[in-house]
Amino acid sequence: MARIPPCSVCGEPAVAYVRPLRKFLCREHFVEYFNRRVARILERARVGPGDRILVAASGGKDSAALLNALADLRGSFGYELIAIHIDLGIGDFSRESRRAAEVESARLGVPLVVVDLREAIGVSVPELARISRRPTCSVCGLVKRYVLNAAAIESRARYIATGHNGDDIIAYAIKSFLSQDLESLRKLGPYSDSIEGLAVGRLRPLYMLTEKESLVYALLKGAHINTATCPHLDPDQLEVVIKHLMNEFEVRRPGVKIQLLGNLARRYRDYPEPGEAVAACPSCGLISSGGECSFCRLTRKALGEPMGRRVRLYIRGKLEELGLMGQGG
Amino acid sequence: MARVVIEPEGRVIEVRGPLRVGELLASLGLSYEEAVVLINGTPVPEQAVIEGEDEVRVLRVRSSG
Repeated sequence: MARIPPCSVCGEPAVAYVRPLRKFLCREHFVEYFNRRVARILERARVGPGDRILVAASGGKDSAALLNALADLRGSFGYELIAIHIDLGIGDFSRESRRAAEVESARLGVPLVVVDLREAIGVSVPELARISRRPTCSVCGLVKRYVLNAAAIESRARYIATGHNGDDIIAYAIKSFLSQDLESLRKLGPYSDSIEGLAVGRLRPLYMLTEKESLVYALLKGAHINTATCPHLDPDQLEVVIKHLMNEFEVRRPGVKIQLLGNLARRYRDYPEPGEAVAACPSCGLISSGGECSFCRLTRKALGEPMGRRVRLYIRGKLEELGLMGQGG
Repeated sequence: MARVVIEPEGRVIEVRGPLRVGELLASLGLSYEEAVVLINGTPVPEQAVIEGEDEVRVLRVRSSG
């Protein structure tokens, strides 16, 4: 039988060594540590009773960990959770992701809104990318951002919670720094504020947790997750390469990642504000930087008409089916 | 000998215990930040020691995309 180091708190077999704490933690104390880190972000964002949080449930490990942690903390904070899954139409990957999101939200008693892109606008992400002659990942990101914001506006959510973990944040930050896109660094805080009627604020509860911690937590919670990687993900994508290099760096200088995240969480508002104007898209009414929003522009060009308004109506119908319209705040 | 399954490839290798999890990962070219190791179904820290007859799973930590 394996020899497992004992938990530094209670002496039970450890499931992880948590470097920022310099402690071995068992199942119970690891879950407690993870939830405490999530709770700290919720406290900073002043989440409280009556708030509705829309949780992006992709079906992967991070969103499963996020949904489990937020479900655990419901009682202490008094918020309401709604999960949303976007079926992007990427073959088996999307089918398994959707199933994972459905199983997990049902298990945790969280209502799930499924936005099937083909049902909503008639095409999948790969089809939209092909027609518009744009890279699939770029179209996918744009579609996801739009749908999440539209669903949050329609459901009157206070925040959109996403499963971005600390490693994701570091990769985006370094990528932004390399291209000297300093305005993007300002968007990389643990939460952001809403813009009334146009955009709902983001909440990143896994900000101070690593990708590995997220997977360990999801496994300990017995979460149903899709472990596959999107077939469109380029293994040489800059974010993937940065993550690998940062993990090497972490091994040589333990603590470097958490230190960077702590500093970014304190200093992100010091970076320049985006210079672009904020306006309502004349086609769908949601946020744009002047003129039509990117989603309406993309769908007008590719499909002959802007689809933002149609997506909003589709989501409204889904919320009505679940009895979730006209509540929240 | 302990049986080690490396996922997602499903590759199977056998290792002779006692062997530290951190050493196993290094032999696979992985750092401790890039994989979760389960011994007999439970995650373990990289300081854990694998013995003969253990069932080991190595899960690579990666983004879904």
